[in-house]
Amino acid sequence: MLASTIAESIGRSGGANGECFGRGGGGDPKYPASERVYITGMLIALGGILMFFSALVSAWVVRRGLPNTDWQPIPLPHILWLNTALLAASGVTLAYSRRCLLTGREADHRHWWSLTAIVGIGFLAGQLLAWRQLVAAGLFLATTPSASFFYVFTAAHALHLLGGIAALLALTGRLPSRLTPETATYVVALYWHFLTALWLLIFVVLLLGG
Amino acid sequence: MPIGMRRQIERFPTMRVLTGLLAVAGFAILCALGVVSTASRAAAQGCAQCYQGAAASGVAGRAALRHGIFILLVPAISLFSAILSLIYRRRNPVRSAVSRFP
Repeated sequence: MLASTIAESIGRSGGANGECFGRGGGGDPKYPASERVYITGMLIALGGILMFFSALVSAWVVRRGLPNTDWQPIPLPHILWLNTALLAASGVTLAYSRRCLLTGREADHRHWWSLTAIVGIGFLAGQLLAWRQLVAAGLFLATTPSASFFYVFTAAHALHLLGGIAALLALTGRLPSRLTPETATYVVALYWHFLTALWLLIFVVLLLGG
Repeated sequence: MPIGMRRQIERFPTMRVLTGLLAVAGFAILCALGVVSTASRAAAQGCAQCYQGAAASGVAGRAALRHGIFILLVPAISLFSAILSLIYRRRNPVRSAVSRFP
């Protein structure tokens, strides 16, 4: 989904024509050169977020691999599976919402876009429930290193996702005047699909290491 | 790459991205191999305390540090390769446009 979204960006922004930086002109009239800066900005932001989470995963690998430490795996709450399914479903609804927009079905687009925001809020609520389960089991932020990493991973991801939900809700209401709906929804979709893929990576890490 | 295959790839944006990603990944792997193959010459020369700490952490600790460094290396080199590849492909937009639409 992320690859197809990036592909759509390259296809719409001119691809091999060299129009990505706004030098070439032409291209899809629905995707003006003046708006491509938002996509470039988002891609740079995603690079920064990727580096941040890579640093966290690297610290997790080193801390877990050091011998004679107090690393003890924690039991992951089962609700994380449901949360993962919810986030994956939100990616599907978002992609369908954009397809509705691009094919001119405005009402369907708004419906699926709102549904994506609701499912995203459901994911965050599920994460809160997972934290409450861990707290009920006596696992707090400073209990063990693995619990600390769990809270840091999930909280950092949830904070980023909160930004995505805010963007979804903002576009549900009134669109920004300087952006076409295609560009605005594309930038948000890029961010959302990236966070979905990132959560899958984090979930695999948590499953492997506990 | 044969012209026919290239045209087929250019018709489908997803395929174009996938082939681009493959090229970037290949370049990133080459960079990573280059860094890894020359890393032993560096021998933690920058910080004696880090060197002593890593040496005292045992075989498992050193392996963990190597893995951690490698994880940090992969996204950094991937981003570098992606940006470099983008700049290279966009180096001359007018010539690319002309060659695409003769």
